[in-house]
Amino acid sequence: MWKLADKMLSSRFLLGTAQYPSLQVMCDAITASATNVITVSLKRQISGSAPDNLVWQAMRKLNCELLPNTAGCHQASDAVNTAEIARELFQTNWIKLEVIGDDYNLQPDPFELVKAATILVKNGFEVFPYCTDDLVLCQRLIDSGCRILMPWASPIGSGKGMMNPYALETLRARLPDVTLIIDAGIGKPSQAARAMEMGYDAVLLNTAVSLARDPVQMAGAFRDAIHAGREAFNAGLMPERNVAHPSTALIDTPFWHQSQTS
Amino acid sequence: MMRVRLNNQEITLDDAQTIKELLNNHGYTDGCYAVTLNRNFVAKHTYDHIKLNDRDHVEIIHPMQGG
Repeated sequence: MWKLADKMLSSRFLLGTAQYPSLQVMCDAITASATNVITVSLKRQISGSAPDNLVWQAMRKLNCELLPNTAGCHQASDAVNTAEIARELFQTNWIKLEVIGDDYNLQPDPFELVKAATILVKNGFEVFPYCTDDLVLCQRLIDSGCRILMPWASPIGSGKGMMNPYALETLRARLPDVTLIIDAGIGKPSQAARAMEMGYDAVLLNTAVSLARDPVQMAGAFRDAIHAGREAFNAGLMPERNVAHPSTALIDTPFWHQSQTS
Repeated sequence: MMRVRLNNQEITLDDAQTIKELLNNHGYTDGCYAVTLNRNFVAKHTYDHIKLNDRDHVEIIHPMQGG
């Protein structure tokens, strides 16, 4: 078990609910993932009359903690407004804060992000900021009151894995007391495992599961990879070395150095 | 008489209504949704108190899937 904000969780795998081939596949994948936290979002209604709430009913049955996002926001004011709506709608003060600065790579706008985080923390939200791997930005978010950071591995939905492992390792080393969750850009279970081996507290992903050929099977693969990565981190990884060190002790092996001594 | 927008539909109201009355008249009696008025969040406990004005835009916000 581990503590995320004010909740004790059994899984370090946070999973998104978007882009699945069907609602049933989404539900099955989330169940297979064994996640305790799913991300959700908001939408404006187009038609004039009340729609059915099939999606909402399905998500509620999954019995997961909900992490609403502020997707589509480019300004701090819009993100704050969206967060207030989400708090009432989902009855949670958790908010995945997304304030986007570029519509092509969807990277966060660091300035609006810090502005929004500052306001939301003051208004009682538990802010999960989606940020880049910039150490100074992360420090500013911590200064604004965030106790959780969610740096990207690479652009949302790209599946590229870690663009800058050095920066992510630096964040982990320099911010030992902050909950760090890799969010965005993970494409393969091995990439998620690598994040956990680095000591990251959890991984959040969506597209890597929802766009897999078999999302349910892939959800299980990520579940196992994230678990394995964390186990490896706890076990203590061997140090990386630049020269070879034989695994087998060579002294007194039958032909070791005999050609030099005879 | 006044004109307001509910989501993307223009509606004519004979007299001033509260947000709650507007919602009730359009089937929003229960369910999971939130409301914005002119793009600003409106808390549920105020629906009874806020009267709509001409050209107000009320939007219903629903949960949806997200990453």
